[in-house]
Amino acid sequence: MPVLLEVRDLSVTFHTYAGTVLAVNNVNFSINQGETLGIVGESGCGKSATAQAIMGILPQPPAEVINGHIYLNTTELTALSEKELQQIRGKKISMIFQDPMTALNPVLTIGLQIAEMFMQHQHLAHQDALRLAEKALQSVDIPAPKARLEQYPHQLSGGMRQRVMIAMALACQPQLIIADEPTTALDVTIQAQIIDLLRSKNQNSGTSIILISHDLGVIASLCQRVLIMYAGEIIESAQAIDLYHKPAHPYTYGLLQSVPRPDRKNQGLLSIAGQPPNLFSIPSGCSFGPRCPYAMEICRQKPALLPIGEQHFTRCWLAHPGSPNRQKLLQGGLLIK
Amino acid sequence: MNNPILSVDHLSKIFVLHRTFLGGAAASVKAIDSVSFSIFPGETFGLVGETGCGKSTLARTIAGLYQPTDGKVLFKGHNLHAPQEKHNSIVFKRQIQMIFQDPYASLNPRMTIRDIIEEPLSIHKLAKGKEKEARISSLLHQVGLNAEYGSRFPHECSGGQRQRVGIARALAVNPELIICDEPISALDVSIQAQVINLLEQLQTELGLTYLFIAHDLSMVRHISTRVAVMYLGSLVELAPTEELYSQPLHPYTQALLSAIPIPDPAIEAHRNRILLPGDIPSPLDPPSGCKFHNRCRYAMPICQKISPELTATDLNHYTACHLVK
Repeated sequence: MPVLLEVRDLSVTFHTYAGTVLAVNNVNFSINQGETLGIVGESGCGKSATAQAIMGILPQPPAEVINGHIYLNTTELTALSEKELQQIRGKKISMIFQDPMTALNPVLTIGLQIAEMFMQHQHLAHQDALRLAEKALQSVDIPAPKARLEQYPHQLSGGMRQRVMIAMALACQPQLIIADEPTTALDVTIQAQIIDLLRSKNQNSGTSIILISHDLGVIASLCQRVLIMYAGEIIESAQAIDLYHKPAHPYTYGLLQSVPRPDRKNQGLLSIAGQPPNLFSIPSGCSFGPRCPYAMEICRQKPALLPIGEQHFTRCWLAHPGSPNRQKLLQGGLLIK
Repeated sequence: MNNPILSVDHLSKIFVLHRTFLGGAAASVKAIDSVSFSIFPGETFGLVGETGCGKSTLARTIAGLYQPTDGKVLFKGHNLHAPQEKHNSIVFKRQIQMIFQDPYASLNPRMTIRDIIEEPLSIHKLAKGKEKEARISSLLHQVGLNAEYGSRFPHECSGGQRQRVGIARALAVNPELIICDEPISALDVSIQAQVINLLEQLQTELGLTYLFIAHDLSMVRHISTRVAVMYLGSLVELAPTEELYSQPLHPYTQALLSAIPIPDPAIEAHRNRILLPGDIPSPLDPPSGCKFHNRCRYAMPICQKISPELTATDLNHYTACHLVK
């Protein structure tokens, strides 16, 4: 499959009153056409900032992209002007936000907000655009779409609003959808509906999806490949199966062990000691070092993202070719008991 | 089994939204609709349900923060809300403490951690002077915080540390029952496990009983001895944890369990979900009969007319459904 989007050496800083923080630190990844990619991490790990940088909607200032290039097919998004970006946003890449109540305009009807997509990108007349908006609502399984066109966001439930967001995101058949915690504000039965909807769009129209979430279950149910981020860096990336069954970074392993399984009997929860680093004082060397049960002397130096298998990379000294534990780690005997 | 520590008997809570000009209720929400259950000493009773099902209202009514509209809450056989028990109620209420969802909103930003933990000790006159200071530092130690945290303010602590302070505050008065209302949902994944492990450790050390309310069904399975499922103000199923998760009887419980994503792509790839149609109905205008009938796969004509009672289908397994009888 050809590469659809490529992010190269992306670094983003935020200038705050307390100082400058490096929110995204030299991030590299790509996503193929038709692929679903998950980005996992805890709050402040830089996953949303990465998504916003791709969309070109980082609030600048305080944010600043200090380095990096982002390519969509052959177009370099980072070199485009705001006006050119507007032609791409919504048409080729669109985004679904966490909270549909704040992402939708409360004083415009649902119909007008979706129709705007068609008027902007396909230069349709108002009436034609509304007709397409009705179809868009239908395609995300909203009952009585015609009546909904006249309604305002506050008249819909949380799940319905998220469907409206998805209808808007899909309106112009984009090549890529970035969903930033799309189900975090929703109940579990509604979450299942939304994930099901995203999966069917991916399978039926081949839309690529980047799903950002802290929920390893949601990621497992939709994504083929997964990136784990910690303190602004990618610390592990792999095919979903490998990542969940053969995690090769102590943080990934800790994360997997700290969520209980709904399908298994009570086992002990292994918690990761300490707390995510303060971005103002990220540890030099491995950023996970201070919390890592395997930390060694060499972890004071920054490890590189090392290949350890097909499409499997980990940023850990344990996986270094010179490490005595590399074989044990690769076979899954080190982290998994 | 021994006597329950807490019994909830046909408890109802109605919130009046508007009144007519004569003072009658023009619109009201039945947040809890005749709920009954018992909690036994030393167990963790899990209560799950989706937004707006009334689980937090139930917690607050039990804790005495709301007056019930109807029904009783009995703590060790004493009715907490009865006027004749008023002189006793402060003693009983001390034995029921609460941990809140949002560690940012439930700590006073203008008080130091020491003062926050000290307040319940002074109100209930449990300790004085040196003894009090020793108690505060031992409480901090018990929840895994350094004594130096006493001089900090809440904004100087992370979310997980604040939740620990909330736990220390609840422990200060030596309670027997702690109501945990979504204690981990505001925390990061790696911190959630820390707080859950702390709660479990404290339970073993101090012999506490928990009422654990959450929407995270995986965590509820992990921590609970028995679990009750709530839908639109009523209990629909109540069973020992392993039985509820392996053999759910109510169609809503079945759908709820099938909706939880499992953190394993190999399993997820072959899973058949029961997708519920539509949204949770508004509690302002709940469906007639069984409140779940309009989303139920097995709905029958009787479900629209008669609301099923919570009945024992097996020893300790209760279900409110016309199908299971």
